[in-house]
Amino acid sequence: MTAFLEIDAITKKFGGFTALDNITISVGRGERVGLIGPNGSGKSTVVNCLSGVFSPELGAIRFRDQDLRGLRAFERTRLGIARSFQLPKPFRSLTVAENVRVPLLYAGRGRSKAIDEQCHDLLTRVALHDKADWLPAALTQVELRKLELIRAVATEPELLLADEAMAGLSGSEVTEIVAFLLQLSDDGVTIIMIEHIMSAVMSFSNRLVVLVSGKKVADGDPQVVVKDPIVESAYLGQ
Amino acid sequence: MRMPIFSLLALVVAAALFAAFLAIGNEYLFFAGYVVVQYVVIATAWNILGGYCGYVNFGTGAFFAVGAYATVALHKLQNYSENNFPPAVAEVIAVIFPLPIPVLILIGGLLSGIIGLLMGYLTLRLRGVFFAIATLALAVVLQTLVVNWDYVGGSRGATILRPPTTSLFGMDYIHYLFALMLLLAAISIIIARGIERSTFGYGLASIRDDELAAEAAGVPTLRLKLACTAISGALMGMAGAPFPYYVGYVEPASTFSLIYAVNAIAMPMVGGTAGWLGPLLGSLTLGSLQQIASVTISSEASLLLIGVILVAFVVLAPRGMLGWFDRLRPKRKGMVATGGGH
Repeated sequence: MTAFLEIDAITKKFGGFTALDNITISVGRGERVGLIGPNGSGKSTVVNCLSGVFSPELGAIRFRDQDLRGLRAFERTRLGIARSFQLPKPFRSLTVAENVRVPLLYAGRGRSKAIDEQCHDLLTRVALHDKADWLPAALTQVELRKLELIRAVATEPELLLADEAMAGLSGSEVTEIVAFLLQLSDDGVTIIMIEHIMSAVMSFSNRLVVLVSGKKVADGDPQVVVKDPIVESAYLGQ
Repeated sequence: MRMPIFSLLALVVAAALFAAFLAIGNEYLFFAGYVVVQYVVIATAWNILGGYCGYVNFGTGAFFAVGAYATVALHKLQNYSENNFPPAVAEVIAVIFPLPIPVLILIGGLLSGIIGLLMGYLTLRLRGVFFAIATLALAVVLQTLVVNWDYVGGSRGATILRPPTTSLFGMDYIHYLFALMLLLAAISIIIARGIERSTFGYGLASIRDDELAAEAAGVPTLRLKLACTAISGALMGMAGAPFPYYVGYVEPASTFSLIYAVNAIAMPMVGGTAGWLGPLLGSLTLGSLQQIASVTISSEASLLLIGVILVAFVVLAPRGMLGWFDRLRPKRKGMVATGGGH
């Protein structure tokens, strides 16, 4: 049996620096994986390798039994791997509605409804429908995060890589985003959440993977993993 | 407004302009008007890559010259074939040539479209100022090639004698060229507007704003950029194809002139790069001003004028003339806050 997503012994180097060292992670369909680790541990590099921004020197990534090697970022998006960016990257000259329109036009698969209607439905899910005609510059930080996520959702992903979707948000805003992601998970989307905010990770994930300096040091039930002495020492020092 | 209606309107406006020029009856108007309308095509073409996709092309002169020199090369082929080709081939060429200008425009467009595609393939990995420098380098390379190509006159240039009238209703040649350029301008504007409202246009806008995010949204960025350089280059080449018949004498320095690049950038910047209307406004005002300044002051003054106006707009109205009307569209909140365009 093969897993939904298999990251099979990938190694990624930048010059002499090994960002990812022989990482193997296997994710089943519908899982909610929290990917944590200190700054510079390689979390975002994993996301970039999965989404096609970087290609690992060694190892392979298979998504639904398909080897992703050589596939460009947009092809992976169309396969069903969506990502949000750590720093929101809205299309600044386009309105909020148009921001969602782009992925609908290029990666959306549901052609049953008119595109305007789909835009409206998506924006309603994150309560941005009243600001459909606004430019991103007029949005607040949490709204930008929501736009970032809903733009990823518009590609109708099977796997969502949420790269620090909550950085810099207040407590209630974090709860809001976590609720949104949980809903998404209920709808059948497999989610890998990269996050520093432990309360969010713990309330969301049903599995936790810990990276430290490009190596995987723990993988398993969140409650067990956080008590792991290696993980504790990585976060708190020895 | 729907596309068919817009297209029809563009063609009607072009026809009306032509009729108005005929009614005024001043021959110089056609001569000067040709240059202005030629810049409408060039500025619109530049904006398809520069404004919609965010890639600043400094090689406008090269694309224009490819169109112009394609015409020169084909024009010379008839004489050349009589002396150098077997009689059978020469006879065939004598039947087909001289090619009608619309055909030359298509050939020029095709060639510079291919050059655009090749240039895109080589340089589109570069962004911002590096892409601009690469396009400038392309212009230098092509100019060097033409200077050393004796068949099209090398650095001496080539003279083309055009007949006083066309076979088409015995139309005056300058009138004919002006009408063709008007048609080309209308077509460019229709293409530009068509792109703006299309899936392709949204893709280009996403590339302009953020290429990584565009890819993540499923936009095949390289493919779209290549299509964009090809279309933009083709239109510039089409604008250049009738040029030898218009001036009668073509030489590399003026055909590859940086003035085309500067105008191609200045006109959309002054008009506004967000849509098809900007380059049209910019080329009409700047183009006309240049023509007036050339006649009333001097041709050097017209260049100075462009420089001053461009600097003034970049500093005072970074969104161009169209930016003056943004205030009238309160719906798009945040427009004023973003300030300096793309």
